[in-house]
Amino acid sequence: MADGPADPNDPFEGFNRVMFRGTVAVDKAIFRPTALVYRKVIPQPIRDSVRNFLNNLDSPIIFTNDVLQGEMKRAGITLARATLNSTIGVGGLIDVADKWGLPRHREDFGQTLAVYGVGEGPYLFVPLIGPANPRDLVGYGVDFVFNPFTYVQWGNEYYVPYARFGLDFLDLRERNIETLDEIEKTSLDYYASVRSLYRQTRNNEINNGATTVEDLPDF
Amino acid sequence: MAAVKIGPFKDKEFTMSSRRTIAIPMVKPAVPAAPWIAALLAALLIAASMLFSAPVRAAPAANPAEAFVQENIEKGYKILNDTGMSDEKRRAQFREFMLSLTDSRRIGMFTLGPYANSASKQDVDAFIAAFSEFAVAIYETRLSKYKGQTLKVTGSQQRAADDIVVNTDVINPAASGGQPIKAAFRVRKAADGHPIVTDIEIEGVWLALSQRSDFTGFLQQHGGRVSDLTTDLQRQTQLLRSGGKPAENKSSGRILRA
Repeated sequence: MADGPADPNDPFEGFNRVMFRGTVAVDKAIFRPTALVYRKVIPQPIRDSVRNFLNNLDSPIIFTNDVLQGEMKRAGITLARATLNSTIGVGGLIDVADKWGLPRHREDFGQTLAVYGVGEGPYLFVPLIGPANPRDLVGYGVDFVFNPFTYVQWGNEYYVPYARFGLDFLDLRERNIETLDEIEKTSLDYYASVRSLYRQTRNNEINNGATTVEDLPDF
Repeated sequence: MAAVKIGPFKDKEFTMSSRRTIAIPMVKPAVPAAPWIAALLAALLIAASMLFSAPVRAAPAANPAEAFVQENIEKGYKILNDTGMSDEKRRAQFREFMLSLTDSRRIGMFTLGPYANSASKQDVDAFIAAFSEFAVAIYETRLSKYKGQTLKVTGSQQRAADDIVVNTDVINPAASGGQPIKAAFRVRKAADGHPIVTDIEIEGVWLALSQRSDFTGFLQQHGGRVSDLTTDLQRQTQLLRSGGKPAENKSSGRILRA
């Protein structure tokens, strides 16, 4: 995993940097200020409930990918969490399962592909989505199509899925205001830092949080 | 990547030996959701990790590396919680403590990647000095955000005789439920045989590895000139210390050049 002068895993770096620059500019002009307003207007307990509710809607996808990866125990936890939170947790607004020792974990089809041995492919920075690679993009698409909540709507209107997506994005951005500020502040090359963080974090998720020492460089 | 894992709440593959807790300054973690946001989150944690510290001793540890981490956790904890100390003095002590735990030159050389070989000795020396200051400045900015988090050694994994990764859990007293954040310390031997920390991992993100990406990315964009990197590090360090809101103007200028 040598990050040489030209990162071998980032053959489209020139293009990616342009996309990154554009996304950062849009974020500074629109998303970050909007997230600040959201934080100011909506009290934290309500924001937390929103987050819990949205997380609960991801349960079908997490459960399915747990199963696809042969992680039956984790699948059981996901199922138990969805059941507890949807009922006692008032439709997912309260994460009671977490308080009872069933913390949340994430899974997605990109991780499932990785567990099946599919390589990540070249790094890509996708405008407004962020750091990605072909494997994870395919994963997002599959998860999107297979999540039943993608198709929830009232009448002929598509407000519900749009609202869900928009709120999810806004809430995430609000939760990461300080994080992103900090990363930018402590980076000399913001683009390269984000790239490295994305890769390491994804690998950690794929390994379900286990520290893998075999791949460490020698120094 | 075919390994199938069974761990549910947390993988208990490591021996739970010592149970020392220690304070670690850390920012409250956000909820990881979108992968890239999660990545960013992780980075924050990294920065926070520079603040950690280390330990000391008491229950017998499973191996010397664990004992070393434990001992220094307690040492750091003591500095952080010594109410009789002025902020000034606390900073100074923490700085000294942090620098004594590690080998800035060794890590700094690593973060230069292939550029370490082509740079002149003067450039490298200046970079190492700037790098140490930068690292210290990052942790100093976090010191003020310390909220009583504690850290406990949970076990270790050995890569080689002198290469051991010590695992710890970060306990946040303010958080209810949830899994503890995981932090790991890579312990190696200095030239004189003493143990040193060469890298720190927070939730899967290694600090030195990330800095290497950051620095080599910068160097690639600046014709491989290590002196440019040093200048930028010094400027960044100053901004961190002045508490100003640095990055905006500067980094957009930087990105435009890229």
